[in-house]
Amino acid sequence: MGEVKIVITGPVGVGKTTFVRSVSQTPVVETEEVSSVDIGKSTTTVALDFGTVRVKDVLIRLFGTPGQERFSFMWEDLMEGATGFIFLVDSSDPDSFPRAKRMLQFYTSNYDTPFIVGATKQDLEDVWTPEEIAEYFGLPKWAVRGVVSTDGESARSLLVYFFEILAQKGGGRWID
Amino acid sequence: MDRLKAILQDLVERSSEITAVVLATADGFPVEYASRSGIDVDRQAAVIASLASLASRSTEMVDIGQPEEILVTSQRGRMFVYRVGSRAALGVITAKDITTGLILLKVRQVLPDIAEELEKVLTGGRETV
Repeated sequence: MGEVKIVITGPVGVGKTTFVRSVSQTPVVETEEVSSVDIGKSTTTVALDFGTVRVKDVLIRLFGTPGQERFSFMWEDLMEGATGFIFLVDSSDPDSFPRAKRMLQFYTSNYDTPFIVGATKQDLEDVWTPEEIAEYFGLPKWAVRGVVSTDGESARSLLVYFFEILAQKGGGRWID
Repeated sequence: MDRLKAILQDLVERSSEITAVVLATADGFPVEYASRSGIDVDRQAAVIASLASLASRSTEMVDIGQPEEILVTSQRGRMFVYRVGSRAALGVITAKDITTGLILLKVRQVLPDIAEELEKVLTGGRETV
């Protein structure tokens, strides 16, 4: 396969920058700026995150998106030429699910690109399970997998899982 | 906020080659703007913040310090972006046929005033236009 581009996306505060940071094997390009409103953290991504990781013989170029909708022009730009995308959802914050659902619909209605959902923050207590999140989002169970973005091994295993499914199913739309 | 608006409006009114100026927070919210014609200030503020941030990362990576000015020359005009401290960026949209040094001079003259007024706005709570 050689080289592929994978987009890491999802709503604000879900752990996209953390995911790229913890899985990348090269120094990460981040565009974190001070947040002027309360979004539950002090900084926010305003353009992209970029990192690379090698899984088996494939060089993965990871492009993380901003989470906030006013940067949606970056969602489109970053999807250009992407082999697939991983949509992250905060398992500990069901209040963010409706917004996450709308954001996922933006991607699925504009792109036939393969994707899976990463249910983040699975190390916290009382979080939604990947199965429950699959049900909420109306996705097959195999399409949602738990992940702890702060843990490099966990983040890497989500990428490996994505590539296993990619090898089975090939490109194009996986989920109707 | 009124003073900030006045500074930006003055910049546009005194320079016929400047068509619009947009002051955005570093995280992409519009703070204030002045324009000769309609402008989608919300989207423009977000793009300006992205450009400013990307430019900073680019110059840091090659160890040439922080960008003083970002210049985008396009088919029918130019866009200049200036960082205003670490918390904001100023986008200046101009006609194509201009003396870029003159724009830099005009903007540099008012950047300290903008930074000072912006500090008041940001410490007093963010307002949007």
